[in-house]
Amino acid sequence: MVAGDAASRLGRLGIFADLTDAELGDLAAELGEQSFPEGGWVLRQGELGSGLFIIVEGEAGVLVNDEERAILTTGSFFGEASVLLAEPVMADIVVRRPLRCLVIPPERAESFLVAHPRVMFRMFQTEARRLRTADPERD
Amino acid sequence: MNMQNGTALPGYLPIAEHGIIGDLHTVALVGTDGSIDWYCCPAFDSPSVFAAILDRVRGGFYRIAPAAGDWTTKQLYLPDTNVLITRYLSPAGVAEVQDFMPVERVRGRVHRHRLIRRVLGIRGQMNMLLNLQPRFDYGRDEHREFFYENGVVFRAPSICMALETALPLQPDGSGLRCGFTIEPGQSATFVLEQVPETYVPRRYSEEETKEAFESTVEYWRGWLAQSRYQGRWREMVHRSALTLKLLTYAPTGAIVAAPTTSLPEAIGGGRNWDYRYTWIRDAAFSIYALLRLGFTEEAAAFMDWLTQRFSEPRPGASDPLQVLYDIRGGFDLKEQILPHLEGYRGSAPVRIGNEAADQLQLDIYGELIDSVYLFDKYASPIGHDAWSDLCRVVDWIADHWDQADEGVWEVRGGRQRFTYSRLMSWVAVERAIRMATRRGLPAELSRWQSTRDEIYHQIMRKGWHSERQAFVQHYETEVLDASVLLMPLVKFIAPGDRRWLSTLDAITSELVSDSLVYRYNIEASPDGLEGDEGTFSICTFWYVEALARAGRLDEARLVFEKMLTYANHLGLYAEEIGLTGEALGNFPQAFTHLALISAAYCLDRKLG
Repeated sequence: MVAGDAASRLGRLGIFADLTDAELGDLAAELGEQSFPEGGWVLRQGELGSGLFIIVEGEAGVLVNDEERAILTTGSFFGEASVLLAEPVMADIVVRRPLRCLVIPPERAESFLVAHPRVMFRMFQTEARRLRTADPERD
Repeated sequence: MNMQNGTALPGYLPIAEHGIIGDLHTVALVGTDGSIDWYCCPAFDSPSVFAAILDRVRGGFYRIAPAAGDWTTKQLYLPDTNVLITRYLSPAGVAEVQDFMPVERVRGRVHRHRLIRRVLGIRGQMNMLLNLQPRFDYGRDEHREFFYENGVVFRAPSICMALETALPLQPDGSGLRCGFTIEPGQSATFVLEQVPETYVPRRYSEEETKEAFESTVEYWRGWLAQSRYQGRWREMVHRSALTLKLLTYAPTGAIVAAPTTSLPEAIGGGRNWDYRYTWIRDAAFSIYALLRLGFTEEAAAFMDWLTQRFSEPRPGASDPLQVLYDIRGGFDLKEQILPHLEGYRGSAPVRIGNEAADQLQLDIYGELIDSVYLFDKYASPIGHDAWSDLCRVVDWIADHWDQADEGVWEVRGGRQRFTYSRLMSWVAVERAIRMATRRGLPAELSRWQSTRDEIYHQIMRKGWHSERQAFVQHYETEVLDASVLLMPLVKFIAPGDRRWLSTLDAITSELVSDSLVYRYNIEASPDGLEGDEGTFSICTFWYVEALARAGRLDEARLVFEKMLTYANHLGLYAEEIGLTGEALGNFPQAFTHLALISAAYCLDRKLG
């Protein structure tokens, strides 16, 4: 069952940890997956956000001014700040290993998050973790 | 050695091919192949997270090893610590994994139960593969795994755990894998941690890992520095001490007999027991060994645990003590078979719980009171309440010592009037009399003295087999039993007594095989259990001590030195040694390490 497999792949992502199987199934049907080949770009620094990307499989590097700052992999997401603020992205995202992402287009991001508060909560947790990791003294 | 990427281990490593790390709440067994194949969290007696040692397919494991190619391994402890290093050597280079579990040193702080694996590049370029396949609750629990950007959270009904790292992790079945390359000067850290359900994994900085590593090293070195042992075989004695400390449950001071369950006494056999409990019997030996080495704090903690046991009522039981307890002092040790696990190399059944708890084993009172006596003499005088409780126990023994029981070896073939049980009843009453006399404590001395003498005469009359010229296993047999090796050690008989020397000769000719000692002859004395067994390491160390006390120092030294060669590469012992020198039974076993310390101490003193 393709839809079931997709739902089970999504169910592995921390951001969707609180969703029921039925909700995951709906989500898989509602949101499309996009694939990106190794070596290509997903986002370029300075461009306007093209969506909220949630990595289902693969690896991507985060580059700021050509310096790699982090590697993102299954369960990571990116593009959210640009979508939420409607501002250009702050980093390049380059594909390190063939990447498959769930993509929420900018115009649907708000309605999606409002409709799924537990996803928003998990996203918020991850942002808090990022802040703390960047500055351990911060609370 | 070739590795595989699948979700099962290729086979079973020999039991002895493991090291042990721990945090004074639980331990993990780390194979020389880099696989953690036994780990219960958060405590020794919690359900397992990794149990591939009991079932390579269904048990779960956590391996870090070279991804492919030919390689060999070496394993060692960072000196004077329980930080384990597994080294991988290959034509491509050398890498090592440091495995450790930080010990929480601030009382009252929530223990985080972290198992840290730090991979270091040493030489060349090494392609490494991590494969983590947890199987919660002995493989009975389903779990879900959730990937975050700094790790994965595994959520099972009974527990949540996270694996945290800066490296990208990939799903692999219901676990994960991570391939990475490591070069000289580089390191990669993986932290496995018990976490709350809503936890979001975080990346550990190199500084944080280094600090956890250094504080763990400092903890173990600081602890070992309290040892006063300066004699021969110091490294082995200290490794035994470090192992005993690892088997201690810090919140209560209890020491588990071994941290594993169902590692077989014979491959393919059914003598597979859960040792993750605390036996009263081990107490006297533990306290003696800990005091001898100068670890009074641990001895005091264990003594507290013990005295609580005989001060509490046992609902529905007529005897004052249970044979074994859980590490918190609980009574309920209901035995259960786990039929879905095939057992180590097919040695079924796998059991959890231990029904020996319900047996009558009269010797435990002697061991208990001997330990109180030693603590009273060498550490801290007994208090009023403990003495009152102890008097109650001695009075009970005076009324109940002369009955059949299951005996020291926990046989399941029916009760007998065992010589060893009476010997230890004698110890119980004799030590109580010594304490009362020396401390001027109130006691029914004349009653106790007549009980003591009655036991003594009965052993001399009925435990002594005049045709065999030896003390025998029980009153209705001519079978020998290694437990009587304790007779001179507990000062029941003079080590040069004629009856004792001829018993020692009889044991030497019947139960000793190339220095190793069987506990009894199973064929001559069926014990109600199927299968064979190896020689019992504790009996060999008792034998060393008995020889040393009898003045047969050359023999004692040779037996001891030979016994040391049966330790594994790290100085660890299981309960038994098989015909080809392989370690058998639960691992590592506290009793054996206690006996090693005692034998080394005694022999070293006798050698001068």
